[in-house]
Amino acid sequence: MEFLSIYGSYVKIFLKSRMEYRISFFTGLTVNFYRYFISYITFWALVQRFNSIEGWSFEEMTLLYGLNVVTYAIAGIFFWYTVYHLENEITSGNLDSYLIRPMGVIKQMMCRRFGDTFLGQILVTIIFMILAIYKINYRMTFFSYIYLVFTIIGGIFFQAGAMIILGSLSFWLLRTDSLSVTLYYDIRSMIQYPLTIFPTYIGFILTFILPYAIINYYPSLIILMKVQTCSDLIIGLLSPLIGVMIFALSIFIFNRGLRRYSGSGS
Amino acid sequence: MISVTGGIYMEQQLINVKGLSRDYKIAKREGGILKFMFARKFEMINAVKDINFSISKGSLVGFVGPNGAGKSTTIKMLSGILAPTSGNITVMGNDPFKKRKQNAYHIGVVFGQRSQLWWDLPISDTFKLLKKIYRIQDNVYAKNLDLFKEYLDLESIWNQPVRQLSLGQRMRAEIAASILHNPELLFLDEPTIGLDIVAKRQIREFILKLNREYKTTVILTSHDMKDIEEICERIILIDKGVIVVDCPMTNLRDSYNKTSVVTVNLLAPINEFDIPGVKGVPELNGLKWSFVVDKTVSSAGHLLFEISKIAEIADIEIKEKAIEDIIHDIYLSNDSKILIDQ
Repeated sequence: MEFLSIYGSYVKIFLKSRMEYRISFFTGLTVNFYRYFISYITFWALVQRFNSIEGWSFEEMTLLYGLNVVTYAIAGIFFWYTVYHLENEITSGNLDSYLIRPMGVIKQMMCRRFGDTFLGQILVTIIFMILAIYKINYRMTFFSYIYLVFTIIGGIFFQAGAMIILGSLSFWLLRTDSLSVTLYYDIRSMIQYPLTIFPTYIGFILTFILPYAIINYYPSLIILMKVQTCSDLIIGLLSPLIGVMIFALSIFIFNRGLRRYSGSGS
Repeated sequence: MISVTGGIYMEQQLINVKGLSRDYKIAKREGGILKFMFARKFEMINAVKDINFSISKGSLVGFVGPNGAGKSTTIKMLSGILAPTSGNITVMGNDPFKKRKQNAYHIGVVFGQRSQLWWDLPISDTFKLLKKIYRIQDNVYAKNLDLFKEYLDLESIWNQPVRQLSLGQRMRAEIAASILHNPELLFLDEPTIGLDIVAKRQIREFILKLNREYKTTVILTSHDMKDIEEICERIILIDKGVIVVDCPMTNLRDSYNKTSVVTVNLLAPINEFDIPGVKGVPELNGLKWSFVVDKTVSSAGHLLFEISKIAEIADIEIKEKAIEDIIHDIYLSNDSKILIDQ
């Protein structure tokens, strides 16, 4: 894969440039590590106090929360700094520079900035998830592990797709940052809790309108054997596939937007 | 001139532009906030209007025009960044927008106001990445680096982070980066902006050398007429989206410069000259005279001959109009022409 080789060179050179500002690099990592570490501790304290949240133990909550964070952070490594913040790429004129190179625009943006700051939260999340799975592994089968891998991959595609779609809004709207924050961070923050704690209409929105719940909630139901209805099972099993489909849709939207930018679309 | 028919790419014509137009839709800022947000009216701006030209391989072309004339829009269309609203472009036989990636291998672009180099890293790193992106062969890469180190003085700054470079050093690196893949066509959008005379001269010399040795076609925009004058063989002057002048550099002087100013210092003062068709203005109580010669009816030589019959000349100076002034005149006359048209 030629792209992987180019991407590798970019990452190597990026890390070298980050080493020019060593302190900023390591503070970025540590700050992220601590922020998420504190989230897990908060969960732990909450569950200790109430024994469980809607029947979900600390380990189960960790799986739920961790799936969201780890997929977000891995997608963020590739897409957050440039594609999600497309507005900056347009106003700075960087987009024009990508267009004069013999390479896809999204690929170039992935190369342009390696999201090193996400490494901290990936590390802390992996630690907590391994600890959680270790405690509940008596409930897990070989199938659950395979399914977990697919869930994470599908979730990464979902999160990447969301970042690309929200970034692409800049092609149509002048300023998009506050809209993206609401659509992506505020609404998605609800999926760190089991969907059943919310009124039904919110569950409906998070499943069908802005289907963030397929990143973690439905897969967790399957892994933790909490499935109660047939539709939970179907949505859960389809979740990885839906993630990939949303990613494909996001590429389509991005290209439409790019055509609008260059003036060949409407 | 070689004609190009049916879209067949002929060796000599690198670029063909036919009936090229580009419009921008912009929102009109009028009425209150609510009206602006919900019932916006749009206005069409015609940045480029039905322009035609072709550029042959190996030529040095200057794109000149006031700010907002449509130069950058045209260059963006030629390099595949923007799509035309209507009309046709072929660059080396391809539509640069539809075959963007393919076109990218054949062109190099330098935006003087923007950097393609990695700010915190030495230029050697940026070059390594470009080598991969453009799939440049090892031997071609090595050969080009030698060339750049020799003529663009990159050796001494090769391992310095870009942020530590002076503007001149950076611009030399920018140009080198844009031609690393041996493009046939090089777009330079204000490459000398903000540079000192030494740096400017070095860049001009390099561009000329590149053109001589590699037959690289160069399209240059600049507000420094010295750049255009020293580098370009042909000038395309764009104003308000229309090509106003498209001619060889040498013709510009001849066709638009109808007068020259002759100044003579005399050994003894003279109060009045009586030479038909020429008006003189005395200075220093008649010791120095300036004449405006209309080249269509007379010449400086003829004038001097006439003067020498009357007075003894100590010193002479003949001033041709600078290219900058000629172009300035064309801008102004173009303005008045448009006013008359309306």
